[in-house]
Amino acid sequence: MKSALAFQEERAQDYDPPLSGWRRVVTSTVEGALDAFSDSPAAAWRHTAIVRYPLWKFVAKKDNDAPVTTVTSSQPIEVEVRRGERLYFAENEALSIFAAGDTEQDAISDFSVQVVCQFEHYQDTPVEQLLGEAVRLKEVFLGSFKLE
Amino acid sequence: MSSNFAFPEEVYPKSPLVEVVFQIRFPGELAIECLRDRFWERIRGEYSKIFVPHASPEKALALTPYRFEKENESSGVMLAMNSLALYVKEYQGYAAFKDEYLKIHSIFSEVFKITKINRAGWRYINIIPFVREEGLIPLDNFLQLGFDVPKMIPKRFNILKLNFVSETDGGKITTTLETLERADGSGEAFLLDFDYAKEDNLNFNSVEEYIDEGHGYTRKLFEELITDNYRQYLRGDTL
Repeated sequence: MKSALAFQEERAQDYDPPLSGWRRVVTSTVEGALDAFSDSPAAAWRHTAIVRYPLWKFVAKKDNDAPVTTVTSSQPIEVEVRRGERLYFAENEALSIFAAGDTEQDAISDFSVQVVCQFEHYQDTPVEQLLGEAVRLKEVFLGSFKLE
Repeated sequence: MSSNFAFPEEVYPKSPLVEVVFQIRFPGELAIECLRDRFWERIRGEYSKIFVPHASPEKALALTPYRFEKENESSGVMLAMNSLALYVKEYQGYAAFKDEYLKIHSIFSEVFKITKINRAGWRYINIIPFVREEGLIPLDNFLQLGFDVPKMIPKRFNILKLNFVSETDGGKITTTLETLERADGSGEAFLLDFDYAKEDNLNFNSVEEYIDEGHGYTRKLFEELITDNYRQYLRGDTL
């Protein structure tokens, strides 16, 4: 007999339970390209090169013993994630953040850490010590983000 | 205005819609098999690509639609022996969609003598990319589902798969919400798929009313399901 864990793994993929004389109710649908064709939107999305994610919460843990710092934004932050030849890149031009990682999750984590670091940096730096673009970024970070 | 289902039409600059479809079904008409070329001749200026159906053991070939698609693949018309549909992947708003469907419908009714329909359906398919927070799906950032689960089932969802059919006045809406992942496993999204259908007492000449209803119900449902935070993103109010 298989272990419960193995059973769950199978079920997560293609498990069809015995229905003992019952059958599933089949709902009639409007057939879109989604269902009928291999170039359906869902299939295309699965292979798309660039994905844009709205994020509201950014978490950073600078090392294993450090506490987690969480910064939230009042506006959604759009992070553009694309796949390069060897790395994933997560970017937001308005925030001047360009992060990278071996996986998409790593790139987004790096992005998150950079948001927290930038927020802390601009919070701690008086405006008199900043020039040009940094003045704008201080306004953006302090105006849109807060420590949770 | 042909019905009471008008909904303020705001086209979101960051809309998650990946496909909108309106379809009618009718009793099988053999002439469609023989005169498909006449229909295509009328629309081929715009819908110049032809995709022929593949044979599959589950479905008769005549009931599997031919697909006539625009050169840039942004939209297309599907025609089978018992159905006609317009699908749009780059949705420019309801007014444009409806005008286009009614144009296709008018050509269809001139070429084929169809007088009866037995189903009118509207499909509104959204793909909403999300990033997990602390390993869990941040559902509350995007959607407000108005139901509770027992306390024993924490609302800390790891995978979602929901499907429900609701009655409307004279129709049904099937709502599907499930999580998708990208082919390389690198990213995830919600599939939020609305499928509205009306099957009773249909009139071939009232198709404008059905398209208004389908759009009205699904758009309203979408608006009621999304959070204000996510709506803010859709409107482009983002950094």
